[in-house]
Amino acid sequence: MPSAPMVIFRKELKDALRSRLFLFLVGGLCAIAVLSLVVASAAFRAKVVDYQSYVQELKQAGIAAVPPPQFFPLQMLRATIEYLEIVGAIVAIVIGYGLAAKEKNRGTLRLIYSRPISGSAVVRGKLLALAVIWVAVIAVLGVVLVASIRIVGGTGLTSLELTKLVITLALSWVYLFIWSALSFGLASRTKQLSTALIAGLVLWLGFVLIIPQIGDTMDPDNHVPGGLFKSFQITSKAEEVAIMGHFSGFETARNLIEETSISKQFERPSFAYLGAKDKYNQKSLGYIWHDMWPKIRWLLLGAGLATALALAQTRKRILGRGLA
Amino acid sequence: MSNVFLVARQEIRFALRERLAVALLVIFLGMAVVSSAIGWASHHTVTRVYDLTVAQTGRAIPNPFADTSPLEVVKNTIIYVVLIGALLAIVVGARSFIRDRRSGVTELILSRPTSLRSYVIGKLIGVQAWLGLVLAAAAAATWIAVWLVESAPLSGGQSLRLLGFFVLAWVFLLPFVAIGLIAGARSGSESTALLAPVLVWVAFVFVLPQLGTAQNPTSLLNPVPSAAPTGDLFFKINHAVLQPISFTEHFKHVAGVLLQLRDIDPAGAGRDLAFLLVMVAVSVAALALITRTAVRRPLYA
Amino acid sequence: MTDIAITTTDLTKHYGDVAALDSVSLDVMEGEVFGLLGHNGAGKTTTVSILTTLLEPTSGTAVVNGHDVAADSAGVRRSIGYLPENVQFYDGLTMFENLSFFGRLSGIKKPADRIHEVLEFLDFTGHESQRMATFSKGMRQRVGIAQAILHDPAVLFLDEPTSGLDPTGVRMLRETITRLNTELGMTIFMNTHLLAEVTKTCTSIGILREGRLIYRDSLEQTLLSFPAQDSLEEIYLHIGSVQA
Repeated sequence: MPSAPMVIFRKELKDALRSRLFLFLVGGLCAIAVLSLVVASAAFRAKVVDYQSYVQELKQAGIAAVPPPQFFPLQMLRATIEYLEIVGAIVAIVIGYGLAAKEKNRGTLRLIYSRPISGSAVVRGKLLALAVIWVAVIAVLGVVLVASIRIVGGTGLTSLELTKLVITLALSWVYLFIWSALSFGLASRTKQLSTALIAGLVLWLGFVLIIPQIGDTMDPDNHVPGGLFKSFQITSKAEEVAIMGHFSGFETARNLIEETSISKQFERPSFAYLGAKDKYNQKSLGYIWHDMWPKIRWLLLGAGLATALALAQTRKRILGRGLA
Repeated sequence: MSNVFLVARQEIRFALRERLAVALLVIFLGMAVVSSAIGWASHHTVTRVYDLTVAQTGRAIPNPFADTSPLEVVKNTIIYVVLIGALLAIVVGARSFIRDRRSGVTELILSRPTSLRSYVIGKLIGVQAWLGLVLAAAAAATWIAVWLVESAPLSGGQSLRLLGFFVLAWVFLLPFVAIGLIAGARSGSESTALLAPVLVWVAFVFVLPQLGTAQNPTSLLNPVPSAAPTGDLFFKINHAVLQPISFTEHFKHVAGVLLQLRDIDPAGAGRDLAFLLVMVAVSVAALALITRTAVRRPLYA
Repeated sequence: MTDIAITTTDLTKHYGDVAALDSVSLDVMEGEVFGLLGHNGAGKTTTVSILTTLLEPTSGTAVVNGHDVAADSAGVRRSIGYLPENVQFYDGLTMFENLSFFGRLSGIKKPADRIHEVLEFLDFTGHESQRMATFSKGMRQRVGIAQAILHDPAVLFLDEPTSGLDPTGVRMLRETITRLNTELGMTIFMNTHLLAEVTKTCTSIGILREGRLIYRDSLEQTLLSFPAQDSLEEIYLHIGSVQA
């Protein structure tokens, strides 16, 4: 007897492939990613032009030239990750919501649940479909990014860089799956679909936009152009930490606020692998993994919780709430 | 004209009963309070950091917070309007038509002596009216919150500026309501009706400014608008072409001037306001994309 | 001696303070075409929802094909087919794909042959690769019946099957129900308003009024028991007014 979850899974994949929405989604994400690459590449070129005129000035003043800016292709993907963090999450919410909403709105749940299938078969099939759909989207995006780096950046990726990119894309998959599973679980649970949509949007606003923004607002260094401590000619991190030590309560609150954001748990390891910050640029895989494991762990826990929420919506619960 | 107000009144009636619209009110009020509280906490702490650093280093640099307006604590509200306000305006607009199409009520309305134009404009007015009420409540909550954190009420002039900011926010949200209405009326599925305008929002809030300024998306969440890099031709051209339609940046600029934010250059505020109003007019004109055929199409989930 | 296909004992369903069903006890024998009649809100859909295990009763028992709806709901679902009112499908998929999906969920490993067989029985071939979005109401209803009988159920539940159908569609449905009963031996449990159709299709009837079963008998006996009434409609209204 064919397994019900696999039947549901295959049907969802078929639906997705035929859906213009799905094509729109993949196309839109790829377009935004390529656009970001083009902008990053142009920004790098602008940096090189600025560098060259700076070197001219130094030469005229008789000062030895400083090293030129180095090109690290993965750094060009920083904006892409930020788009996945912000835009990808909202797309994931709508996709997850839609997977539940279409059954409820049509009334096909009655046809499905009048069949001899087990309690969580529908949910398992749909979650599997969500996971595979995002694998497909991320895979297409990955191919587009590698090709774009070659075309726009004029360079290929080394095997180490490629590995780092694959790890970053894997983290992206986990992050997007979290939002889809969460949204699907909410939409399966609530009697009114609009409640699930509101809840999804509020969670997105809170964890993706507002909490990180609060964290940035509370960072003293962001209140003066160029940095507050730099304006005092304080360049040593130790001195900065010593001063902020007097405000440990505030700093603890700020860090705690930032740590609650699942998007930060995704962003930081991703940036580390892309070498977006100098600390991790060109570092080994092991080094980065060791440093970022606490964040990655939280991300995986988030995926587990979102999946658990969705799986909790069994046949009995859904029918018991009069949702079919 | 009376049909326009009939439809508008119906929208407000739904708003009072629908969870989404009520949630919008609660979120905006919460946002107003949180913004002021966070703004004050940051300002207060950073001032203490400055004082301590001056005492410890003996280096005297100008206090970055000297002579800042009390409205500075409200700065984050600009971003909350762009993020929360615009997104919720889209969702409320889209759901207005989704609700009618799903229930089959569009057939009943269009079979009456009501023009499609009245129907659409009525919806726009109704949703905008509700947003107006929400923003008025948010303005009052912000005024009270600022009084509490600053231990003094805003002066008459500052209160007018705050009010002006919320009026500007109301105008700024209209194009997003229109985009939501168009998507809700024309899309074949509820998911597309929500997703398509969100992607349009992403384009205006992130992609267009990024093309013109090379700023990364999270940097664009800064209430201070970004400046274009001066050297590169790519950005010069993009900035020149895209600047008139980057109306979220225009909103941020004009809002910053109204709130007297210290990092905002008031030059060009009049021009940016004009661009913003042009975008509002264009979005109202775009409502013509809503046709009888479109709204009568079945809606699939 | 025919077995009992469906039996309910003091079946009750409350929604808060409202009793949607109040101690309903009825038997439907194998091979019957049973029509459940009643005004809007009488509890007909609630009854069918409980018997198809989509709803749990507040109290009382129901047994379908020897399986208790509460204790062995999967067993019930293996032996029934169900056509809800205003059935909907996945519009982006073809008819064949929709039927294949529901057939597999019913446990049919390779449904293709069975789908063709059922469509031929229903005289509805030639539309397999058409998307459901293009189907009229009558066509959807035929697909609805197809999905309900793919797995050859012993009992078929139909909730307002003639709702929204034109006269041709109503006749088609009547003929189909009769054939399912006489040729395939299916027991049919049908909610309906169309009393004219009940007269032509059903072998027994029950009448629900405000959640209570106020009448139950064979159609033949019913028509004999009320000689003063000319039609089933008048009998129905008479019984209803007596009970009121």
